[in-house]
Formats: sequence, C-alpha cells, structure tokens
Amino acid sequence: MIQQNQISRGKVIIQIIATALVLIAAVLPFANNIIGHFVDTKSIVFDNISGVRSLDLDSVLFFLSMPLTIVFLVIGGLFKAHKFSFYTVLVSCYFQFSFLIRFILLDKNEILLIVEIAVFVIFFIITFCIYKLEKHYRSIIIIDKFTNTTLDRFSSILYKHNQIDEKD
Amino acid sequence: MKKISHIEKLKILVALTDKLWEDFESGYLLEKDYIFKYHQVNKEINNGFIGTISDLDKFADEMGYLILRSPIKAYNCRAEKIIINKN
Repeated sequence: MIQQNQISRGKVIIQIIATALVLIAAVLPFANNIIGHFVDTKSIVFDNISGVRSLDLDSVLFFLSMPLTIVFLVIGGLFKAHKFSFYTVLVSCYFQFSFLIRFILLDKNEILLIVEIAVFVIFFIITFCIYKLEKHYRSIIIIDKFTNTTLDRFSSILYKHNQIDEKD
Repeated sequence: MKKISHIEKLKILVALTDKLWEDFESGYLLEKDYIFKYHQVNKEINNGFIGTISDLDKFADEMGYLILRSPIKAYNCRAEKIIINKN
C-alpha cells in the first residue's frame, strides 16, 4: 500500500514537472522580448563571429530558444504532461506567428489586417479540430477497453457452461 | 437540467457494467438477469439516448443501482469520484 502510494506520488510529480516544461516551452519563444524588457539586449553585440557579420544578444536568445523549445515539448510528450498545457503552446504559437508577420510586413497596413485575420481563423480552426479529435479519441479508447473486458467476461461464462455440459 | 458530457456518460455506464459483473461474480445476480441488464447498458453505450444527468440517474434506477457523486480534489485537476451502489 505504502509502495503504491509512493509510486503514484512519483507519477504526479513527474507529470507536474512535464507540465511545467511544456509551459516553459510555450513562453520560451518570447524570451528575447521578456529579457529585452529589463536589459537592453540590442546594445550588446558580438563581433568577429564566423557565421554572420554582427549578432546582438536579442537574436542570440531567439535562436537558442528554438531547439530548447522542441526538447521541452518532446520531454513533455514522453512523460505525459497535462493536456491543456499543449493548448497553451498552440496559443503561444499563434502569437508568435502574428508577431513574425507584423515584423515582416511592417508598413503594409492593408495586407497586415487581412493576413492577421486569416492567421487567427486558421489557428482557431486548428485548435478546435485538435480539441474535437482528442475528445473522440478518448471516447474510442473507453469503448475499446469496454469491449475487451466484456469479451473476457462472456468467454468465462461460456467456459463455465461448457464445463457443466461435459459433466452431464 | 444539467447536461452531461459524452465521455463522462461513457465512463459512468462502463462503471455500471463493471458493477454488474462484480455482483454476478459474487452471486447477487442471476446469469439471465446479468445478460439482460448488460444488453440494455450496451445498447445505451452504442446509441446514446441519454442527454442529462437526471436521465442517467433514472436509467440506473431502472437497473436497480444508484449513482453517487462526490467531488474530490486531486493534485492537478478537479475530478469527480463516482460510486455505484446496489439498491
């Protein structure tokens, strides 16, 4: 009993940690904006880099956050993070997308509005479809388990009948 | 009239069949009764006419069972514990 309790508690702790990692993954793409709010990251420039001519801390943070986000998402998926944390990732992806579009089409106002509405609609549809599919999937799993257990039960009843018939 | 979600309804109905099996195993139910009641629950799971909680309670009452709900607090989500009792 005590051991089982410990196992379940360990499971809960692992789930909480996985959920926290997924939530961090949702925030990480905005790390450069958040840190830039407190520290002037654009003034810190790295010189003499082989890849690019010059690189400031803002873009360094942005590039570093990409692989970290993917790693955290994978860990969260492996250790079964709470399912609503993945929806926060979708919402953060939406904001990221709209920020990037604003960044690219900075001064073309008419296109900007149409594109933003389109991005919102697309992300809304994606989130809605994922929610519906997930619900459907869960109900299928429940019915699957149910049919399996009833097969077991009915086969045991039939087995009993067979034994009675053989005795007669 | 409080509506009930599809998944919650399925869970309760599956728990009802579990309870039916438990009673059949321990000898409270005859085999004939068990198979009849099981078929009714199975029909409900496949078709799904029940829409509200009171309908579900009525359905369980016809089977001779009572559904008790008590909200409990879990670590990271609010869950409802479901107990099914024989009348």
